[in-house]
Amino acid sequence: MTDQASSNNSEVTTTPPPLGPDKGEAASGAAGFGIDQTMSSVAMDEMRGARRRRRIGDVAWGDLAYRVYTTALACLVFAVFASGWVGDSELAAHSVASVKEFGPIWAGLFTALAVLLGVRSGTRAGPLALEAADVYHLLLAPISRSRVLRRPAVGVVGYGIATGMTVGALVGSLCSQRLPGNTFEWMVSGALFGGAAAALALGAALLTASRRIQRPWIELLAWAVLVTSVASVLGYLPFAPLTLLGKILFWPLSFDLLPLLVVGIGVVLAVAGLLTIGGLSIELAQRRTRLVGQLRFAVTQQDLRSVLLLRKQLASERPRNSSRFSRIPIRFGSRFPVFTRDVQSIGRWPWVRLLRVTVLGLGAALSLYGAWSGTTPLILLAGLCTYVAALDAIEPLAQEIDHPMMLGSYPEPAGVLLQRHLVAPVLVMILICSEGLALIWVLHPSVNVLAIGAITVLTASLTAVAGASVSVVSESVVDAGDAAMMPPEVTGPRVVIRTLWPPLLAVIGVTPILVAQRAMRLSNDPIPPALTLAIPILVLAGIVFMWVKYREDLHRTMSEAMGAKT
Amino acid sequence: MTKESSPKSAKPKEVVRLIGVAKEYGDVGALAPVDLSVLAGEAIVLVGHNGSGKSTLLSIIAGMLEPSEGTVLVHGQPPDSVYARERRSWLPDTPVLYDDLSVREHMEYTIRMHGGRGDEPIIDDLIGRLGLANRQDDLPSQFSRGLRQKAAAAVALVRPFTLLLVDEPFVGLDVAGREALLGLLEESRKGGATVLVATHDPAVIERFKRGLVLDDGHVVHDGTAESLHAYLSADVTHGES
Repeated sequence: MTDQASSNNSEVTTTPPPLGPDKGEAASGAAGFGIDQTMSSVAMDEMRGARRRRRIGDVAWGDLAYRVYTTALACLVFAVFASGWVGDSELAAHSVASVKEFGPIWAGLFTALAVLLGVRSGTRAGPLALEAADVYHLLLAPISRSRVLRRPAVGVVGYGIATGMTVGALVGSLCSQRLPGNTFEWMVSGALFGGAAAALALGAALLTASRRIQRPWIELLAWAVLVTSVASVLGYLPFAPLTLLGKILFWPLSFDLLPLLVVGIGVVLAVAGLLTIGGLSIELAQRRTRLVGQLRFAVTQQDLRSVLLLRKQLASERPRNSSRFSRIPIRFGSRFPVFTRDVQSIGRWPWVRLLRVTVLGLGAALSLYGAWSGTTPLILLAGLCTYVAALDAIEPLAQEIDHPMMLGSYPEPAGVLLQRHLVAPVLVMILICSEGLALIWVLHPSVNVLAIGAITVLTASLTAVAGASVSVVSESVVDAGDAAMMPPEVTGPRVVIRTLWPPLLAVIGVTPILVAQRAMRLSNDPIPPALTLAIPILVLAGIVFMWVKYREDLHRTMSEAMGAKT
Repeated sequence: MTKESSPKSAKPKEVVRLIGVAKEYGDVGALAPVDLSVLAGEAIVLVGHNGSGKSTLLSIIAGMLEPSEGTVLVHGQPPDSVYARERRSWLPDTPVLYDDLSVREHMEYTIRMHGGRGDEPIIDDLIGRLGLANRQDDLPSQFSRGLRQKAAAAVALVRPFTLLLVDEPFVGLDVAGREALLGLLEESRKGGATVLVATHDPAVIERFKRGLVLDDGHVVHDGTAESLHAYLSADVTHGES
């Protein structure tokens, strides 16, 4: 008897079974069995062709031309902006030497990150996102799944490699502005690097998906590759595997044929992924199909909450069945029902979410350590880490927002309840940020680290939750009517501000580190300036928390005022 | 679990075989290890409350879900084999149709994918019997839930099959559509197909010869329609007392 688990990894072709019926014994429906795969393939191709022609026929060419024009214009503006930002004065010899030494390491780190993302996507049947009807009508049809999936897979890989090559060529062109070498050479090496990185990432994704490689092991391997690259960037390792590929980007500075080996590996991975694509899990493909469609729509609507929620579903990140804090005393629960509900929700976090927020806390701390050491822009990364962690911590509040009927049914004003939902996330964020402080204290045990760290933990936790609550709560405001009345010159910046303001709040929360660092450089006591800055930051967080409470009242008052005017 | 002995006669071929098949979603068990044998020509109704595992069981046999453990065989082959796909038709609880193909185009295309020419008379026959004659050239995206269900049924029945899996087929159907679909299922069975139907509708249970009751992922009863009625009545009485 065939073992199901072992048969899952590759598609089984038609073979006469010991128990099965003979050809031509179809009990119902049209015709009999004895299906010719070629005829089925022809039917599939004709159907796809007819649908493509119909889609092309439905295209509004004016709209399409306008979209192409705006995209091309945006790319051009970006290229000009990037070119101006990079500048065109040639770097000094020692800087060129530094680029030659560290450039490939950073390019390797970027590739390692892309491969990790590819592998993670592959464990969820990515990068393909089929139509739901294709899963049902084509993958369940008696036709080779490799045949069905190869064309969309080739499309994804081809598009990915072409995009990688284009971006790589652009990066190469920018490099040529300040580094010695011919522009054409830089563009070619950049394109080769970009294409190979894309092939590696997409090939890894396709192979993981088609061979159904067990999730923890393949992800651990990808993480290991990334960690070697990070260690290499930090100087703890002399070499990381993907640094070899990064060398291609800098070929005009130092030519070496060995990196072509990694290009070959990328090509082999991509081809192997395409050849074995028939082994894709139909269960994962179906789930991905459903969620990716919603995810794309949420992205177009700038609906961050839905994007995060769908991404968690895509990763099969479900709350635990039982809460880790299920034994909360009834008296406490009845006195603080909102806080108790939040604690029970947080107690249901799966391990992967606990791990993620832990890593984000440590990442924020290390970024701040880097900012303290002189790499000031890392403060942005630290703020982003706390912001993303806070989006997880604020899940109970988001759930309340997701169920407005229930929120409206409670005997307390919605704003009051929403504000109460902020207590547990703030405590969680203090915990997450404190573990980062503990790490830094282990690296640098001093009173100053402890004091400045404690101040930053407090401000960062509060502003991260404030930013996350702004993001979640403001998405619930139905203002499409208002937006429709406004000109694009107003709605565009409005969308940008609405998108950037929440993470910016989180970044503001970690700035006490900067003033403390400046004071240290000037040989002053770093604690007083950090404390001085912390006060307005705490006030800002307080204002946001009050906004959460009175937002609906404010909105209603403004609407009434506008109505009275008109 | 109750299990009745089957009569000893010329044993029909085994169409579906489940050996210790279980399904889990994270730490939630959707289906406990199930052993099941379905013979050619059987008409089986699956009943059970919401979340009892009916749809999971059918989806596993349909090859849409992979069991967490155990072995599934359809006509002696893995459910995702081309051989099994040739012979198994699946009508899911939520109709899955292309938004840019009409009902007739869906049917023609499905027949062609299964080796037909695409102009077989069964297309018109099914369209007529399911009351889709006036809507056969319309896109399903413009349909109500009931019409979409009829269209999906037409697509599932138009192709050749020896095993028909149907999940909650009567949801959203009007009386005429329901009767037409029941008639088509009966004809499929009489034509020699094995039919497995999951339903909440007690009125249709008597039309099936064998009934399975699922509860919390376990098969708690496996017997004739009469014994199923008795079991369900006893269960209801027990639940009320």
